[in-house]
Amino acid sequence: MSDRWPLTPNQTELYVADQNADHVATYHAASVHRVPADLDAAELSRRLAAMVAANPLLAARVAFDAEGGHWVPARQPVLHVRSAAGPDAVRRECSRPFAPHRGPLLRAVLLRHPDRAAELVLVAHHLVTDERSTELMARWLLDGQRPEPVEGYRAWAERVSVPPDPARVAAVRESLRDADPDFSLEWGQGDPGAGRTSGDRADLRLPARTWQAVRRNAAALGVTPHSAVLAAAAVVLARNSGARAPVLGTNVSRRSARHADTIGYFGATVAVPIPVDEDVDLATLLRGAHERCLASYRTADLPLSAVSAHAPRCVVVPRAGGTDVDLGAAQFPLTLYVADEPDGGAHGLLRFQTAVLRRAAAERFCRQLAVVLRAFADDPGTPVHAVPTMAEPDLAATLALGRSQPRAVPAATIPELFAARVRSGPDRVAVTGEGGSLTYAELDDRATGLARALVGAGVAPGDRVGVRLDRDPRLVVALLAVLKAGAAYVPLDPGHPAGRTAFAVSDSGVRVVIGDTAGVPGATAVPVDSRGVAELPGSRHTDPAYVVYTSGSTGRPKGVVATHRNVVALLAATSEEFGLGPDDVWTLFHSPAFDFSVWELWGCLLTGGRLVVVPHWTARDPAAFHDLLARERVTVLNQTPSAFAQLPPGPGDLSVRLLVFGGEALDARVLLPWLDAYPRRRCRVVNMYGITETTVHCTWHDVTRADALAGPAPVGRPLPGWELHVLDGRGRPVPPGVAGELHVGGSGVTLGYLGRPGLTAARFGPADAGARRYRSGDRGRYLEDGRLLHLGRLDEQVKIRGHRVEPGEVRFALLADPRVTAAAVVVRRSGDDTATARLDAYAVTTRPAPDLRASLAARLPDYLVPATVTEVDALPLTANGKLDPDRLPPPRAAASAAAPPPPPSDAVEARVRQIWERLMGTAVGPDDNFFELGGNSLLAVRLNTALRESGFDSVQLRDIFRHSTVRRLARVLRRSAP
Amino acid sequence: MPIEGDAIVALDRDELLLDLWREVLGPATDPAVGFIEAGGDSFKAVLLATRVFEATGRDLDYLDVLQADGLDALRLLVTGAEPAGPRG
Repeated sequence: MSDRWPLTPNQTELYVADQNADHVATYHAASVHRVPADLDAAELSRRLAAMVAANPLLAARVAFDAEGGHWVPARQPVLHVRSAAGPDAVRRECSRPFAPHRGPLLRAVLLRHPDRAAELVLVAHHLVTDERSTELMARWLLDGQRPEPVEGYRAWAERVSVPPDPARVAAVRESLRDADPDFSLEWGQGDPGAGRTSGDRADLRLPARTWQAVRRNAAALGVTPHSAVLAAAAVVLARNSGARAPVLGTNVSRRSARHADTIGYFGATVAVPIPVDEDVDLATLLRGAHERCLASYRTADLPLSAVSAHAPRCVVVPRAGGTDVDLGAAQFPLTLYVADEPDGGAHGLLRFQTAVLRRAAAERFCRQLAVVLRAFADDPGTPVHAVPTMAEPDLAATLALGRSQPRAVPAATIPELFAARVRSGPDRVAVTGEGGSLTYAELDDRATGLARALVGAGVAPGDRVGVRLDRDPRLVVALLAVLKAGAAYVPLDPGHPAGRTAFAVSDSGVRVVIGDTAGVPGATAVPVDSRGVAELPGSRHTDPAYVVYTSGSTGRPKGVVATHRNVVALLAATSEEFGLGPDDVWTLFHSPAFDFSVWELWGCLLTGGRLVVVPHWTARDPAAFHDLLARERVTVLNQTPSAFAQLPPGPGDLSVRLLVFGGEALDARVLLPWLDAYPRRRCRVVNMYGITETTVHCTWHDVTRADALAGPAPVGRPLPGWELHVLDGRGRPVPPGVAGELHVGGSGVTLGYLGRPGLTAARFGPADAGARRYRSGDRGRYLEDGRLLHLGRLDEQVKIRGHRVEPGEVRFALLADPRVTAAAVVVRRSGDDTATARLDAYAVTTRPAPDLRASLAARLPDYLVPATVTEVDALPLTANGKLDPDRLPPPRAAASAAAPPPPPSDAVEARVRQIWERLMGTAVGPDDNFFELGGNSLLAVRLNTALRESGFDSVQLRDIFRHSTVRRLARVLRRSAP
Repeated sequence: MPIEGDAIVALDRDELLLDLWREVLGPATDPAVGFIEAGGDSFKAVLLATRVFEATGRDLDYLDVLQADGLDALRLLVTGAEPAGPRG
């Protein structure tokens, strides 16, 4: 009989996975047994020798050649007797690495402890053992029970090591075609800096009552409890990732009854696609899942790598029980071991990769599973869409993240609060600008006079009055006057095209305009200097205060109607926290037609500050604006990031103590020079996310230096009284980490769109629903600490290979890597062909990070992984501080198909390329990606062997996975070249 | 009527299979109820396949045991399965 025999298909799969793992103990199987202190070590040694003699696999090593992997004889394992050094001795023994190409893959250690206790530590590489085998080995060594296998492992191996039937492979591939094997794991909020297979554990406990009901209900449906758990996991994963049909893995044993006493590795992982249809009931979902499970079990003889390009992201393993040693490694992102407990309950042990999941998310995942299983225990007839995936406390905690403690909001109108400021400081300067200054008393007097004139001109309470004035103090007089007249102002920017102004005037039913009415037919002009005598009506704090038009990405502009109360609530939420008061000097920098100005105007005047109205041309001249800030000793500055990016840093002589960003996403890198000149103790920098429909601002986030190094800043926490919830497509709250649509509720929710009841109901919910919420159309997700990330607009998503892709999400995933300080992701198409749309990513890194793309691939679905990741020194910006995609370099890996590959740069590269070309049967350029050329894990094993044989004997399979171009692999090999 | 050769073997085997079925699934199990409906899972299916193999030499695929919709189905598996024809 030859002394070599083939690796079984399941062993080959495991070998490839092991070679690609970076935690040495990822595939170790250990069992530890307390033994008497006076145990006869000589007898133990004899039994070990007999066991190895009967099982050549235990003294074999792996050899790979062009035909595949084989077992060949290696050194015999012998019993090691050691005294235990320290409490960590067992763990150290278990973690001591094996080298499959050297063997043997079994280690038996008799550990003698100082207190005379002793333990037998039996550690094997999974290539040679499974749960049953470990049990058989332990019994043989400890009790002398020699198993008598009906068929030995080698005989089985030779029988099953045949090429898979192509028709069956094709059928399994077909069954996986429309499923999602690589569903997103972004919800796990892992630490991308952790080793890929470094692991941790979390626990799931189901009480007896629940678990017995699950078993009972499952049995009644003809479904195994294991299929029920798998289906529950699919529901949770579908909800967390947005996948429609997540593919889960499950472990099956190929051990048949005749192998009950055979030592060897019989395990196999199969892929089970589970479509999660929200409209069926749980019973139907579970029956379907069970059928899929059975179908997959029957294909366990086909190597997983032959049927799927993806290793499973979540594997559910039924367990008979038994303990194992936690070696801190995890083979899959998520592995759930489920076992019955003696009390009738169930215990799930979740092993998770820390690079992909953080502990809080893993623990919550366990609770999510428990909730779904409980729903099934309670009533299998529940429709899936009605099944929650959050436990009550998690739901409460999630909703609490979206709220903050409201402040008391006075039931007062803007003119009433303004009047209080006039009383407390009539002679303080309220407004400064071109044409001079006005004190609070003067401003009040002039606005009252104009308000009386408006009433005299026929303005009635609830009317809308246009204001079309240049940027000087009279603008402020006019806006206040409209409110005093009991009307709502409609700001009309004189710089806007006449057509747009005419639309706003007619849409809002404006009959009176303060200022210029040129090009606005049918409107009566009232000069800003008018003074009337009519009596002023009162207004209520729930009445409209202004109507601001938002352009919206599609359709005609919409007038958003905000009330006095909305504005008063914004001030109540912020003034104490920001310490706003009479010593502050604000700028009115923005057009009154942009609602950022609402905050500038009333934020200042209702807290007694001085408002500097920035003339139109000064606002457009950064140097002049800087001079104004210095001259006027402005303390509160509000800017859009684009405008701020143009502001010269200056000598650091400004008095700004509060810098607020709003209006667009903040890439905080523009802040570095500012933070250098104005440290935290001099100036607080706050990023605020806001929507016109919910009154200027919704959230706040104190921007730190770390944010400025990282790039896009979180938008932070909801303002007191505001609510921001992340909901899925069916309006269900999602847990932290999970992306969804931002819904805004609370004090900032405006009355809706003027004259558009249908649109208002669609976006704000029914008016009689009590707590109205605005559906923002923005995507976001909460971080575990309660800060919100804004992920862009839902309608900016592009479709890549049929999947909705949000480039901002990919960018955030890149930025989660500690080495990345800035990133950009662009969509490129060749021509108009949307089928060829692809993502190219650019990253600024602190040190070379060639594995960035691979690290993204471990966390994101395929379609979200950019085609290329190019490292650049800096991102090119446009004049207004936004990314300039036209000036990005061509992506690094964009191979030009037409040109012949350039010559290799040195002998190492030449040799690597030669081996590579021989294996792939095609010409290979230095930057062609192995896997894009059609390489797969088995070809990688062969390439690895070929490289070793040609002298690169230190090469690791994982090097090929991580440095998958000739040039990059050669760089790694050069360090160890012979 | 006297019972002859094969029939006696069949009767013995039927009793044996019922004993094994109830050993794995519980003494009061109705043999007309399917394996999973009677509370069986993959561990119990492996156990029953092993016990059947030990007693009869028939190597059943535990998946077939798992999917058996009652003792009769198991009996068909045993009479149909070749003693030396395991699947994997």
